[in-house]
Amino acid sequence: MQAAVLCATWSLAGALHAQDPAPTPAPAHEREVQPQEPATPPAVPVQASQPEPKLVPVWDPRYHSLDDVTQMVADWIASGAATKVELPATRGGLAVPALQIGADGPVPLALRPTIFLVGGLDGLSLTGCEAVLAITSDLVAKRATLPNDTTFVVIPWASPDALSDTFAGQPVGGRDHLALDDDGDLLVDEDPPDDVDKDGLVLDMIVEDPSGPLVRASDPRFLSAARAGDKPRYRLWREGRDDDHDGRFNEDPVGGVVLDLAFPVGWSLANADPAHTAGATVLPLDDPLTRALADLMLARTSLCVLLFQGNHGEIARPGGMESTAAESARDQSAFDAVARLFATSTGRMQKSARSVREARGVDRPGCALDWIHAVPGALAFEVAAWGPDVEHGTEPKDVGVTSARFDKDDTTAGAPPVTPVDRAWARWLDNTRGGIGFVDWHPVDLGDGTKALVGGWEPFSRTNAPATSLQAATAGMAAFVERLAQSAPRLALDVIESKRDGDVITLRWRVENTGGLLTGISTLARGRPEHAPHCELVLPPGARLLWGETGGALADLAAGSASRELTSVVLAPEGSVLTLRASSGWTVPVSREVKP
Amino acid sequence: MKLRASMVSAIAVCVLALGTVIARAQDPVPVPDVPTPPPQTNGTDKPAQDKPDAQKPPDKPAADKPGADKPGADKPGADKPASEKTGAEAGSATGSQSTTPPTASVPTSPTSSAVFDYASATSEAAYTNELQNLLAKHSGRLRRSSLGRSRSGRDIVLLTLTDLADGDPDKKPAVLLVTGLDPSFDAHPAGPQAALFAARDLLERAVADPATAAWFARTSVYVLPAPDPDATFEPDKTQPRACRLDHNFPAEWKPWSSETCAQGPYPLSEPETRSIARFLSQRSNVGAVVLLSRGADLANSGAPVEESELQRILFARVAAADAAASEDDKRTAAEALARRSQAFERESGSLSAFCRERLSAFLVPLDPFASAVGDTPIGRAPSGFTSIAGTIARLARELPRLSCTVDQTERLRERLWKVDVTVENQGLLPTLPESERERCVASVWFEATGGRVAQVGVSRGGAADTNAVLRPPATWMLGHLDGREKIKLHVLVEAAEGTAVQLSLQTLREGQTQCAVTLH
Repeated sequence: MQAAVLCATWSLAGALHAQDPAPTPAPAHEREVQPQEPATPPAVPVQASQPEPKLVPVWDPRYHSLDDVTQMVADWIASGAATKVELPATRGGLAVPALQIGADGPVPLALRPTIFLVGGLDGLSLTGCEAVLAITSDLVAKRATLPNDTTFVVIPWASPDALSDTFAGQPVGGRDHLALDDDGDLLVDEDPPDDVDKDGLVLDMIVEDPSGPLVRASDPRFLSAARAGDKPRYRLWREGRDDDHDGRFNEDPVGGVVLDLAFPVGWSLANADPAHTAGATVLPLDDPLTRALADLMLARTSLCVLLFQGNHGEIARPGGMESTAAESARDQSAFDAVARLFATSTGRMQKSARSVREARGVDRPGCALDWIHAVPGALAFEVAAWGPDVEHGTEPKDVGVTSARFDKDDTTAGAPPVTPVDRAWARWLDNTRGGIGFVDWHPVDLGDGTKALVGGWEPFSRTNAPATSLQAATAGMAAFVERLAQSAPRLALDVIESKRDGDVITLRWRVENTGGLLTGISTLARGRPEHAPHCELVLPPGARLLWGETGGALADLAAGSASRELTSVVLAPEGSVLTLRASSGWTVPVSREVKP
Repeated sequence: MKLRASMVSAIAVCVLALGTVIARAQDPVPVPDVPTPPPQTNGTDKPAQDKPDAQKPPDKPAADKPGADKPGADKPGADKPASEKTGAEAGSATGSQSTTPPTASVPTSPTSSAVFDYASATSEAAYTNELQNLLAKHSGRLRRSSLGRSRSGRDIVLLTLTDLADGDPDKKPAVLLVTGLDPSFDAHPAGPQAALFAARDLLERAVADPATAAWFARTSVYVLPAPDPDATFEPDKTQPRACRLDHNFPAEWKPWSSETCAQGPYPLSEPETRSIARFLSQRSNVGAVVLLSRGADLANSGAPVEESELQRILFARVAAADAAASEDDKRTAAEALARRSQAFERESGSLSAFCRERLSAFLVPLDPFASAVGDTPIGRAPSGFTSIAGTIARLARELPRLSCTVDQTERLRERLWKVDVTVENQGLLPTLPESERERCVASVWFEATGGRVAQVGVSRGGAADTNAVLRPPATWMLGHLDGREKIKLHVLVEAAEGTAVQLSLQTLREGQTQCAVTLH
């Protein structure tokens, strides 16, 4: 809300087009070869036509509207620092600003391993959107020094329908503008939340119900699961009246689909589909935007996808459900390596990447992370810029969720204890905000004789950081992304022995991963076997292999490791040039010519 | 103890209700069968036209013969087509709709022009020609449309069979007939022959038989003869796909399968599956699906058949094509059909699983392709083709359709009336399956004209009366009806004496009806 009234200010940045670092000179007998064209042309990067250098927008720590974001992206593109990525409009008809950026280099942006930076796909996390803008601003400023074999695709506001509602202080659970009949009563969007007490906010509402599942906790600001004998009991709703008089509150709000939950792994009708859809279809990846996003990830060499959303303050690996969490745990070491980069860069206390269901505390069937991990086979993460541990007040530093779990709760009143997560948020609120940001529960009359209590977290407090906390929430994020790009796996062909004895050449060679991350995860090889690490010895005309190998599939290579050694004994006339090639799903293909 | 007592009583009610459903379902209900005469198998591949009796009218079906075992035949009017019923039988005050399916008689081919060879692989030109012939001959009951384009730009043809002059086809209870997308012959899907045969069979019955014509006024049959036209008509020229279409639907879709990339990068990644899924998702009137597939690569798990009592009865009815078969044989046939249906529905990402999950449709998978080729009144075809139309007709009979009867009218005040109405689901299929009901307030509702409805009470056998929920401005939600279930409505109407009040009842499956009463 505060952010809405702030006006846009652009600041200037320095020179844009620093010269690309000169490519490392290759040995005279070796030459890097351009990567092969992918089978499927990559999706829609629009090359800018040598624009005049313009002023480059720099992110300022405040919340930006869709118009602001659109303008920033346009300015970055116009400055020549980035090129546009075309995405279809939302169901609500809003354009989706997107760009790609990378240092100048021999490989076109579309063919490089790509890191996706996606803000607010859940439709709620404006802080995540700001984190993406902050990172992009930094990437633009440092473009010349970025690795020249990596591309960043940036989609700062990935769900504009829902994010616009959230930005306007009227969040609808992150749903886009597809009209749906959620409650199966043949009416569409007829029971949305309302500002019952006319305080300008739509908060939470609890209604007393003897069979309700919740009671007020020992800290009465919060609710806990009711135990046997606890009373009074409540049901929790969003603030609003029972507009359709069916005994339920706000069960058919405006909008339809949370884009982050519209992906097919774990998706089911039971989770996603209301009974009647008023002519609309609800199917996974059914809207043009998410489908285009999926196609773009499939078309690119998708190294890493970072979804900036959530309010747990962590970097979380895929696993919206128990089964997918177990699946992503196969690649735990790869996820942990990135989590350590994240922790080092941001100063956050995290040693391991939990699954997203653990980090959020709820299941997320159909979440984008699970599909991105399973099918494009990318390192996929949910990065929550905001969380209760991000900003600290006057208390000692270690007051986060972990320590809150071990706190002794005040149960003198006999009420159930506050959950550790609520307690952590309470500490943040009390210690850094003086309690401002939570509206105490207060009675309202819903008009039909029903009494209720309205209160809860203000819009920019728990779900999204207060504007004044954006600096803290985004601190270190750009450094993390840059380190991630620097750590990307990179292949090199190591010729251990190359000797000629008459027309007989003996070659001993191997493939090395000189990067800081491994060359792929389990799902990449499983789902897209064509992307498994592979090497090849190409013989010139007139040469033939006497014995040994001409290459083949390799196991994934850990950071800094090498493949098994390959031996090739070749009969080739004097002057022949042998070519070694290697590729993997996350790297630019490399090639090396050998002339023993 | 209190909780336990209430649970016991709830279970008792459920058992009672289930028993009622089963008892209703097992009632002897007239099932006018639709036997098609067996093909005149000649045992060779020689075209039927070569045989002198190729165009000879078929024998009179057994069901039409005196003394044929025709359930319910002794009930007055039980099997009469709607058009033949008297006003009383049709229900002047009840508005009850006839559910008579197409009768057994097969036309004597007055309109048949069997230029299409149903027994061998067809060319695209022959297919198109056959569609044009059907359209030209049956323009009043056949509509051709396109669901979209295949990857190579071919139309994905949808045929809609219904009485086009009588209402919106999408507002009638419907059966979908679809050719399978799974590999059937040399890794190619089954061709459109069986679906076209069935379409022609149904249409020509309607020409020859008023009962079938009347049935078409109230039922739609959607036919997808070639859902994968590229693979059907140019299998060798079709670009290789990243996936198999029959694993590409969003029902239990998994990112991996034993077959590399068979499921596609995501559900509905192919234009064909996307078009079909969109079409089906936008219709709630499809209650049953007949799938024509060999099921060549179906996993035979040997798992016991999991079916409800209702499904058991339905499968028995659908499988009971041969009235002369022994009870044991019928039971075996029904179980085989149920097992096959279950196997199809369990296929991850299959069209069958999608139809079951998305449409809550009752699935009947048929394999008509493997039977011996012979002559039929429609043309030379595998004998299995001749039973498809009958299966569709039997299924259509069990789609949820409402009837309503005004039982009593009572004057409570000068302008306040209590009208008692009985509403029945005449089909065996529920208006919404149990599994779907949590997400849907009601699949049956009504609106009234002629007076203001003040309140509506609903009585169900064995359960306490409840109040219907008003959906403003004037729609009353009545919940759901199981197969053959009856409920009583107590409608309080404010109106002057002599007012004609009409209730329009509707279901999610479009099996609507109306009943009227004059208040006095």
